[in-house]
This record gives sequence, C-alpha cells and structure tokens, in this order.
Amino acid sequence: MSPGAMGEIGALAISMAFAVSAYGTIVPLLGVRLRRPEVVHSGLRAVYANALLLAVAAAALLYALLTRDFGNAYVAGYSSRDLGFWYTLSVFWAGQAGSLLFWAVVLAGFSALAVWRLGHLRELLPYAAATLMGTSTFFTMVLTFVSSPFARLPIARTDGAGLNPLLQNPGMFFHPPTQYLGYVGTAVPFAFAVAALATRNLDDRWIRATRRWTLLSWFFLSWGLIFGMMWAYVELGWGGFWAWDPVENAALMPWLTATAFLHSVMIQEKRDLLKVWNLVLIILTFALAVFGTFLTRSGVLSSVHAFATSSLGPLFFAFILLILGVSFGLLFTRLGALGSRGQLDSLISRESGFLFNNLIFVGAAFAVFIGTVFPILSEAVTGLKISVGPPFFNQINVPIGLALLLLMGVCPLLAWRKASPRSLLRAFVVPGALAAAGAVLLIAAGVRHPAALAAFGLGLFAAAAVVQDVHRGAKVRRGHGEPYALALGRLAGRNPRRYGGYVVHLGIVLLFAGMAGSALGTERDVVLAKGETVRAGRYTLRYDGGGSYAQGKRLITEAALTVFQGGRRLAEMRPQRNVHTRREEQVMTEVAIRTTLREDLYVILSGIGDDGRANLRVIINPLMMWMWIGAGVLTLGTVLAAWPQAVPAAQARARLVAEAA
Amino acid sequence: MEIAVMLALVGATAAIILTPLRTRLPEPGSEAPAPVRSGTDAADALADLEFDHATGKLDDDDYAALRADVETARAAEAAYPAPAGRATPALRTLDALEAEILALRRKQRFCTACGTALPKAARFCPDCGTPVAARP
Repeated sequence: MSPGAMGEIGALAISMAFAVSAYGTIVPLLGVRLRRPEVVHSGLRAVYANALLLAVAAAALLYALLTRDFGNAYVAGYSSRDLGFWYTLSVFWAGQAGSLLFWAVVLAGFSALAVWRLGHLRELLPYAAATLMGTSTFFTMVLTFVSSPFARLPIARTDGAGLNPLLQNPGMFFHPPTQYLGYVGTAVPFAFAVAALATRNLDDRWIRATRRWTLLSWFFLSWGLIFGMMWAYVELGWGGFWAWDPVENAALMPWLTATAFLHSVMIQEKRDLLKVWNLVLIILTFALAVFGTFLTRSGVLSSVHAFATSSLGPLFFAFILLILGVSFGLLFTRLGALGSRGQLDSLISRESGFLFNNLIFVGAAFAVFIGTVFPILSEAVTGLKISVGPPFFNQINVPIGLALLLLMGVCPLLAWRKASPRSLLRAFVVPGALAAAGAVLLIAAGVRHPAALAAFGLGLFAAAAVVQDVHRGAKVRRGHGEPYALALGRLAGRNPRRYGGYVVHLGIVLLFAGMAGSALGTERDVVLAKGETVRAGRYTLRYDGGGSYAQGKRLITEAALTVFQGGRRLAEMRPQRNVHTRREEQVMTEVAIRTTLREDLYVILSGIGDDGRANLRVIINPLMMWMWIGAGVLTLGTVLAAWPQAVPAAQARARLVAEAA
Repeated sequence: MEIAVMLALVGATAAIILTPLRTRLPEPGSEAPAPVRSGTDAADALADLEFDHATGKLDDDDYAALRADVETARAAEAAYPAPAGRATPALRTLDALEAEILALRRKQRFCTACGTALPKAARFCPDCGTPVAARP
C-alpha cells in the first residue's frame, strides 16, 4: 500500500473516532433518559469502537514514521533518515499533533478498560462513559480539524528536518508517554466522580471502584516527574534537575492534588467525611492534567507566550472551562445530598493529620499555580509580563516540603479517631531522639545549610516513625505466636494499602534526602591548560587536552579529564559540547557524570579556546543517587499498595460483616 | 485496496455500535441493584481501634469510650439493617430516608417545644427560646 493511502486511512479513522466519541457522549445518556437499556448498551459500545479506530490511527502514524513517509508533514517535521529505530518511535509524541493523538489513544484504551472492568457499576457506567467520550470528543475534534498528524505536504521531501537533539535522550523516550499516562489516567476517577454526582450515588462506591486507577495514574504522574528530572539533570547540562519552569510546574500540580486525593479518600471510606472535598480534588486534578497538556503542547516549550501564539490555546481554555463548569455545576446542585454523617472526634487524630496533609498539598498546588500563571496575571493587571523565578517557588515550597516531612512522621504515630497526648509523646521518643541525634551529627560534620539540616532531621524522623509503627504492629502479631518475619509479612498482607503507603513514604524521604543533598552542592568554574589540575571536593581533575572533530551532522568538541582521589587514579571523564549543524547550529552540552552513593561529580564543558585551554564547570552534587533509589522504593511501595488484600484477611472481614448483619 | 480497508473500518465500527440495538432488552428497574455495603464500616472501625490500642497509640480510656461508640453504631445497624436489594426506586428512596432519620436521631437533638433541629452546642432553642433539656 502506498504511504499516502495509509495516511488517508489514518485520517479517516480519526474523523470516525470523532463521530463515534460524540455518539458515545450522547447516546448512553439518551438511553438512560428513554429507559432503553439496548440504547445505553450501544452507547457503551462506542467506547470500544473508539479504541479500535484510534488504534488504527496510531498504527497508521507508526507506519508513516517507520517507512519514512516524508510526504507526511508531521513525519517530515520531526524525523529524519539518520534517526535510529527507537527515537523514530519517540517522534510519535515529540510534536504537537502526534502527542495529541497519543493522548487520545491512551484515553481510548483506558476508557475501554474501565468500561470493561467496572461493568458492575451499572448506574454509574453510562455517565462515566459519556464523560470519558466527551473528553475523547474534544481531542479527536482537535486532531480532525486543527492539528492532524496526517496532513500532507504539497511536495514530499527527500529527508525530514530531524528530531531536536535535546529530545534524543533515553529520559525523553520514557518521560512524555509516562507523563501522558499519568495525565490521562486521572480521567477515569474523574469520570466516575461525575457519574456519582449525576446519578446522586454519593457514597464511596465510585472511590473504591476507581482506587487502583487513581493509584496507577498517581504512579505514572510520579514517574513522569522523575523521568523529567533525570532528563533535565543529564541532558540539559546545567547541573540541576528542577527549575520551576512552567512545564515542570504543569506536571507537578496534578501530582500534588492527586496525592492529596489519594490521602483524603481514606477519610471518606473510613469516616464518611470530606465528600465534597474529594470531589473537588479529583475535578481539580483532571482539570490540571488537561491544563498541563495544554501548557506543554500549546506551542513553544517553556514559554508562556504560547498562550497567544498557538491556535490551540483558546480551544483548550474553553475545554478546561467546560470541565470546571459542568463538574462544579453538578457539585453545587448536589451539595445538599453531600452532607457528611461522621464528624471529627478529636483534633489529635490521624484524620486531622490527613486533613493538614491535604491543606498543605493543595496550598502547594495553589502557590505553584499562581507562580506559573503570574506572568499572565501581571500582564492583565499592569500590562507588564513579570515572571517569578525559582526564588519565589523555593521560598514557598521548601517550608511546605519540610512540613510534609514532619507530617509524614507524625501521622503513623497517631491513632484513628483520637490520640491522647500522652501516648503520642511516648511514640515520639525514639523517632524524635533519632532525628535530633542525626541533626547534631550533621552539624558536627560541618553542615550549616538550615533547610538541608531540617530536611535530613525530619526525614530521619519520618523514616524512624514508619519503621517503629511497622515494628509495633509486627510485635502485636508476634504476641499471638507468629515468628517475627511471618508477622511482618502477614501484617503487610492484611493491609497492603497502609504498608505500601509506608514504603512509598520511605521512598519520598530518600527523594527529599537527594534534593536536600543537592542544596549542599558546590560548583566552581575553572580554565585549565593542558596538564593543569583543579581540586573539587575530594577529587583532583587533570585536563589531558581536547579537540574538535566532525561526526555525522555534529561537530563534537571534547575535553579529556582524569579524576584522582588521594593520589589514586579513579576514572576518565569526557564532557562534550556539540554543535548540530543541521539544526541551525544548535549547541548541546553533553555533561560527564561520575555517580557514587555519596555524591555525583558533574563536569560541564563550556568550551575550548583557540589556545587549547578548556573552560570547565565542576559541580559536586551530594546524595543525588538517593533520589533515583528513592524513586525505586516509591515504585515498590506503589505495587504493594495496589496489591490485592491477602485472602485470609478478606475472609475474616467477611465473617465480621456477617456477624454484624 | 485502500477503499477496501476503509470500508472494512466503517463496517466494523457500525457493527460494534449498532448490533446491541437489534435486540430489545427489558426495561431497567426490574433487576436487583448492586447490594449496598453494610456492617463493613463498623467492623473496619473496630479492627482499627483494636490495632491502634494494641500498638500503644490509643489509651485504655479512649479505647473503651470509642469502642462503646462503635458498638452502639453497630447495634443500630443490626437492628435496622441497611437496605439491600430492595426492588423499586420508590422503596429505595424510602430506605434511604429511614437511614437518614436513624442517623439524625443518633446525632441530632430537637427542641421539645417546637421540634426545631438544634445545633450541637445549643443550650436554648434558636427558634422559640425554650431551654434545651439535658441529653437523655
């Protein structure tokens, strides 16, 4: 089949998906209204048809990419013949039209899976499906009428423009799809929340049914951030991993509200409190996810000018307003039915701990939001576009992060419903003492950075509190005659959600340790002639010379360095500074990083002068490795939290329920 | 070839969406709704209480008081079982109302003179001023 024909099939599939999505938005609701189950059924089937059509469209785009169909504007714009197989695949989500198609495909897949797996929620399903298909209608509409990945060029090119070299990095291969999986995943709990509102099924069934979806999308949002930080650290070459850039913020905000949601739903499940709050949180999370897509995809990355220049801007804005309008409209008309029957028993209780945690997360999301849109606000008010930089965000978010660490330590020490100050103090002793001892040790070791000290102390406190709580639980079980290891296993199996959450907390503590470590980093700029050395921390670096050579379409400038520690030769490092001749002389710094558990040695080559002297920036980032280890621990914890509850516990519960009834 | 694939795509989509319309299904309402959870909350709450007490987070006094609360709620649930599997929407609405009333009775106090629902800490009825009697 000719490449053009494949493209036409893809374009047809997308426009059909638009029609089918619209059908899936209207018909299920119509069926409910007419009391005709077969009509509802037909409407639900649209979800599957939509998935099929978008899969065909995705296959057509992949085909165009892999067969190098440079008559296709998207393929010609983002790929080239010399691009390897994996990066050619990644072009799928490298540009605007492709990434919107990716969004739509993932949404279609998730919707089909949700309708299939949650089929038992008969009353909610038509409304949830309509919400999901409404979202799909928007994206397929954009793909059909505004930004098509199958637009043809008048004359096919012989080679494409190529992929931006910044995006040619493994981090960038994984980061966008992970981020999108996270964004799109929030659509499922959101859809069931809307369904619960529309049908007035306002108990916690929608929350319980979509719990794994929430966890899954939270997991992907987390890894989206982590992959993004890895990419920024390795590829952007300025020594850090986070810059409070609008697009980073756009990814962080839904993560913050989703994290708040993950915690507060437990209060509703256990105590029937916070119903309205949970609905607000999931609505905000989904709206922020769409906002994140919009910020990333509305034009030039990391530029707030994107609002004005892209044709997508107003459309996305209208869509976000529609989401907020419909869902908050539904919420307000149901406020009367959303009264909580329970009440907080005590200010010192795990419930109120969760409540504080929620306030902090939402406060952080709000602060980040204000900082992100501040340029637009200031332009609207004063006519001047004023950006707030990292100092603003750090000033607000460092204390917020520290408060979260503290809460993470206090919450496991608190009982549900009510904790007496006496037992709380008793539980405080060991973690508190450990934290204080750790802080004293660090001060003795010469650490003077107050925020970093606080972070390490509170991190120790939180970790110790978690370990103590697990230990106490295991001790109780051991009291019933179980060996310690078995008691530990059964404890986690009985409540995987709680103990999975604890493991996630340990991962977060490690992430914080890595971040605090990087605050203690040192950096220095040096100019070295061949054979000269420079000391950086425990290391001595010797410049052995460098030069430039052409490789493909790149002009590579490389410096060779030998690293010594205490007279012993440790390693060779070769930082590069490359000019991509194809991309209008785009310059890429390829940093050299030597990672150990203790610290990263991070070397940037700023250039080699005509006299052969190298301009180098040498950075020491303590504890960076622990961020990535923390990410691994977080993954383990999430898997544990999503693990089905152990069977004996479930049986025991069923027995209790039977007794109670 | 291209036309054939396109036709197949249209045909498959139409088949997926339209086949359910060919057989008329019975109207909803005659089938039993999904069972409503009952008892789980009280059982869960008891398990949490016991665990928090055993791990030393909950004092004996607090434990006894909270446990009594939960037991009462559980007894109430047992005496007035949560509505499960009631057929018609009307009956389900009734059940929901009854549950609401039960919950209100447990928490809510009313003025003995005029029947106004009283705020939690009220010592006098906000409507007619009658002093609120001590809680029975």
